[in-house]
Amino acid sequence: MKSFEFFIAKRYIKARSNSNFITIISMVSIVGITIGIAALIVALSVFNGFADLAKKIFLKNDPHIKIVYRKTVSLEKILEIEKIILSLKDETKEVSRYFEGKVLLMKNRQSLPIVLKGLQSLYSDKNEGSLLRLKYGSDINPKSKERTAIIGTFLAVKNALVVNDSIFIISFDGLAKSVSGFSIPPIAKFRISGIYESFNKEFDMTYVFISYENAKKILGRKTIADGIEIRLKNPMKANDLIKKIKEITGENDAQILSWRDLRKDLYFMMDLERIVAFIILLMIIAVASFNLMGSLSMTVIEKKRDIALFRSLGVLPKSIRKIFMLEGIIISLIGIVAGSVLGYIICWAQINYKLYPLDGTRYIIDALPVSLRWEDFAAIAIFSLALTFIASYVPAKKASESQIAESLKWE
Amino acid sequence: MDNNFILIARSVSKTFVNAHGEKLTVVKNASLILEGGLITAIYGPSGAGKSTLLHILAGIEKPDDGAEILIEGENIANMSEKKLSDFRNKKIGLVFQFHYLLPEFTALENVMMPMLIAGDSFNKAEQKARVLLDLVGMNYRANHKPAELSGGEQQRLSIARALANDPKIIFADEPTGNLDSANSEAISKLFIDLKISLKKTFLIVTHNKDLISLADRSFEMRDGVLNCKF
Repeated sequence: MKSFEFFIAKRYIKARSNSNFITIISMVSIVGITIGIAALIVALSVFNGFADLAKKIFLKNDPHIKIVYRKTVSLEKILEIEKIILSLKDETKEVSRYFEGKVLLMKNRQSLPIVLKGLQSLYSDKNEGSLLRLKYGSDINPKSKERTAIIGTFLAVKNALVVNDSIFIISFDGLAKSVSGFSIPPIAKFRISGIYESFNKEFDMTYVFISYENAKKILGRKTIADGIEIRLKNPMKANDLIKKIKEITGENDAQILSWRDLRKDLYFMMDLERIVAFIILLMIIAVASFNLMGSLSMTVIEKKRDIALFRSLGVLPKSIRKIFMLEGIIISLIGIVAGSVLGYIICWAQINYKLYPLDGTRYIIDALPVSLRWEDFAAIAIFSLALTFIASYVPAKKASESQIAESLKWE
Repeated sequence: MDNNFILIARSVSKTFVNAHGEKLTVVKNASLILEGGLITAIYGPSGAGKSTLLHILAGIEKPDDGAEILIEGENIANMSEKKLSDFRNKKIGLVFQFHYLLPEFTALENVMMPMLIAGDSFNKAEQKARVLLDLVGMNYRANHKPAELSGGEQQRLSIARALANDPKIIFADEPTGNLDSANSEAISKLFIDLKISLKKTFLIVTHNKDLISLADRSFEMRDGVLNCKF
């Protein structure tokens, strides 16, 4: 059953003496909150869009779980860990042993520090190779005796390298030995068999892929792997799997990292950015709440005589407070709903009609990325309601404290 | 027994302190009894404290300590705010000089208001309100807002509102103060009708000579002192 407080609050918002239009004062408050909410939703959704895009790119190139063996780990332990990981076949997409190490790449009398990587799939040797999208050329053939490598697009463009060019690789290990032993450093010649594109400039510039066997030789490794890289069907489940793997391995055997750990600082920065943007944009709602507080205070002054009359008719002060609290809350709810709808429409239009396009030749996307999340809507609604609740409380309390006789006596 | 004494007030005083700290006693030790089913009038010059006394008796203003205002055996001078609000809602009806109708609500809704506050459902309140509007001859204006009504109609409406919840006593503060002589006469007649048909008790503060002459009992108030004029 609706209460008389609600009946009165609703009428105060809606009607002014004989017109049935919404009052200007309520309208201004509603518009303020609507704009604030819409701005918050659009801004957060753009942040989400960029974060999702970055995550998508990183998740494509980065392993979802990376196990890095310690130097002291035994071969038995490595095999035990691999057995566990292979038993989780339902969750994993690809599992590869890897060798990884810094080397110098020599070309055109220049030397560049790069990271050399060799992968060996634990499921079959078919997948051995870069696992990346090849733009030109072909993948590494692990069966072939020939030394072949795959390099990134940016590295290729910057150093004028094309498919079938030769590059020379010197390991830092070999370099150190040659300096102390006054011998010529061991140089390995590779043919570029393919060029990949990762959409990540840093990754493109850094990683050069060769076969697992070649990597073992060049990097001078004695073990069966530096570690294991796992790609999952659902990267969001990385932590669950890590928990299972950690049951049999200790910190002494291996370091286990999730995709989030691999770029901890970046993901932390993205989260921080979102929170800061949320807080700053919440200021818009705070301003709108002050506006609401002002307009409600004016209503309370305007309705001074009505309040006295209600009190003389037997309305308790707490019900008077309730009437004006309800008025504030109804106004803010209208604003929150309208703002959410407006924000949603803007984001939807951006997704479907690209209101704000980007230059597709310069960026990897053709429009400002936007991603809507219901958690944002919930958080915004809760915080806005809390702010407007406080804003309504002050004038409502003042209304409940007014003296009856004084307001009725003095015209 | 004082069965027919609806209200007994003894030693009612009211002192205001102004901004300079000076004390001003507006009502000085007033005592009176309201008999059931009668119209009692209080008259006197402006500023004599009539309205203040009426507000105190109606429970919308607190008297100074020591006052005793008994309505159905209960002293409203010592009531808690919650009990007093309930008392105002159910036991008394108020009519003001400037009617104080709610401008956002229709005539019908204005009359429904005390019943809604008492917790009646909308349907029940509406039914009762229509009966009351009929009683004051205002049913044809049920869906009009107060601004669309004449002064006389507004005052009839506020009398209908005062009758909601079937109160024991109707307090009226200068009910004809703002009306022309024809409307004043109609309102006076309405009071008499209600006294006879509904057996209501009235306390009316007024300047209106006709209204005073219609009263069963009258008091004169001068400089805060209430004098009986039987």
